[in-house]
Amino acid sequence: MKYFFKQYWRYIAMALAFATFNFLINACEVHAEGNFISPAQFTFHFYPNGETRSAANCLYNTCTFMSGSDTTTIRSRGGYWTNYNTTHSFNGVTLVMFNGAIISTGNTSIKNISFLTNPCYFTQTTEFSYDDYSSNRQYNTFSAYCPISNTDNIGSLSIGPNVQVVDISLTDGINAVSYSLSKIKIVQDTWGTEIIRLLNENNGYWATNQGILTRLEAILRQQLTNEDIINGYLSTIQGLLQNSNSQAHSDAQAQKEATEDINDSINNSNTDGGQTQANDFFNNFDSGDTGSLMDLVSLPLDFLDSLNNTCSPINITIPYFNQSFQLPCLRASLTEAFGGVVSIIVLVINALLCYRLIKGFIDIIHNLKDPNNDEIEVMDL
Amino acid sequence: MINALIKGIFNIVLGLVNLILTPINALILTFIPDLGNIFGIIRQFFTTCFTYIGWVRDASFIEGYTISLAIAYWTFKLTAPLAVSTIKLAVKWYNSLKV
Repeated sequence: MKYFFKQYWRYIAMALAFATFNFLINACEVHAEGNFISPAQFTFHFYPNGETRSAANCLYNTCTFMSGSDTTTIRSRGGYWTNYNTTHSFNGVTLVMFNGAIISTGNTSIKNISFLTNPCYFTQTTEFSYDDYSSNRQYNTFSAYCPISNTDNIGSLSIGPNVQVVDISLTDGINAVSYSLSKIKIVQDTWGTEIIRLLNENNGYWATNQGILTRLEAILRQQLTNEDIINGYLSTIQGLLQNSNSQAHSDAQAQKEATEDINDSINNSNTDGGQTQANDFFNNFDSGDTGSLMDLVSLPLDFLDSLNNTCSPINITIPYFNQSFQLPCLRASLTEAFGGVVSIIVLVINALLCYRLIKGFIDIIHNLKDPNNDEIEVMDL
Repeated sequence: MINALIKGIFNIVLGLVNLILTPINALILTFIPDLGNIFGIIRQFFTTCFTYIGWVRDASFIEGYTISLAIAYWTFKLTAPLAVSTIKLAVKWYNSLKV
């Protein structure tokens, strides 16, 4: 038996060690999934017009989406987008719609990729892909709605089946532009219509590009959305202040009522019910949380109180055997069995006890009557 | 009214005792809490025992008036001799001073 328990604890330790090891392994797996970078990862950049990029960008997990439909140019790169517009919105956020394709260069594994919608919302995925066997290329088309932000990256999207991050950049032609509000200016054209212009470093205007201006308009709309959000915060703060004021008002009102009650009690000369209240005072006198010492001090009083308890049958459960039995009140059982004889026995017993107690009274009084007796019996206890 | 007054006196005495014991009890709970737990266990034990007193009293055929008489006897035995002896002592001192 001793050997068994020794081995038992050893097995328990081994099981705990295995569980801990398994937990660590699982934790590592979860961590890896959250930061998984596929060897086939691609990073795509969206450009509003035809910037030329080296085809090498596609070879190192970075491809460039190009505008237009120049397939000659397209096939030297990883993908393209054909058009976009800002006529869509989702949950109040202005979205730019991209229609494009990812073009692979003979790597058939790309055919089965699917677009994930974070944060872009795709309406069409690579299920619509087709192969160009003559050029040994695959065209994986897609349509996506991407939210506009006020930075040069207007969003990102992911391409499955592995997690792949796609950056979307805005440029006006070749140079990257930071779309801060200081570079955006609203001017009037020759017909008096307000149009959006983009300032360059010399505070001149960049060449007008309708695509950029359209997206700038979307950015401005997003700013308005942010303003709305700020207004929402202000409304929330106002609500909080109102609630705070309401709470303060309630507290002040409660304090006022309490003061009025005290004044009423002080000025009340009615003494009706005073005796009852005095009795309640004594009855409700609480010795408080007496703690452990007071528990012991008050034990004799509890004992005296318990002497007035009426009899109730005692239920006893035997441990390990789980058997219970009941001890009935003895006097009731005996009275039922022997009738009036029990009453006579009770009377005799109590008479003898009372006789002994009364005799004790008499002895004490007799001793007290002796003027030469200085004995204090309390000290003899 | 007299009953309430006596109960009130008892409660006041208990309150005063509690007032005295409160800091001691706080010290015990702070520095030797296990001792406080032991006191609590003792109290719990006796409280459990007290619940069976009714059954014991019934089985011993002792009536309530006998118990009342016994309590009165012991109260008298513990208080009256002390009071009378104190009076006797005071009278003896008085007589000694008078001489």
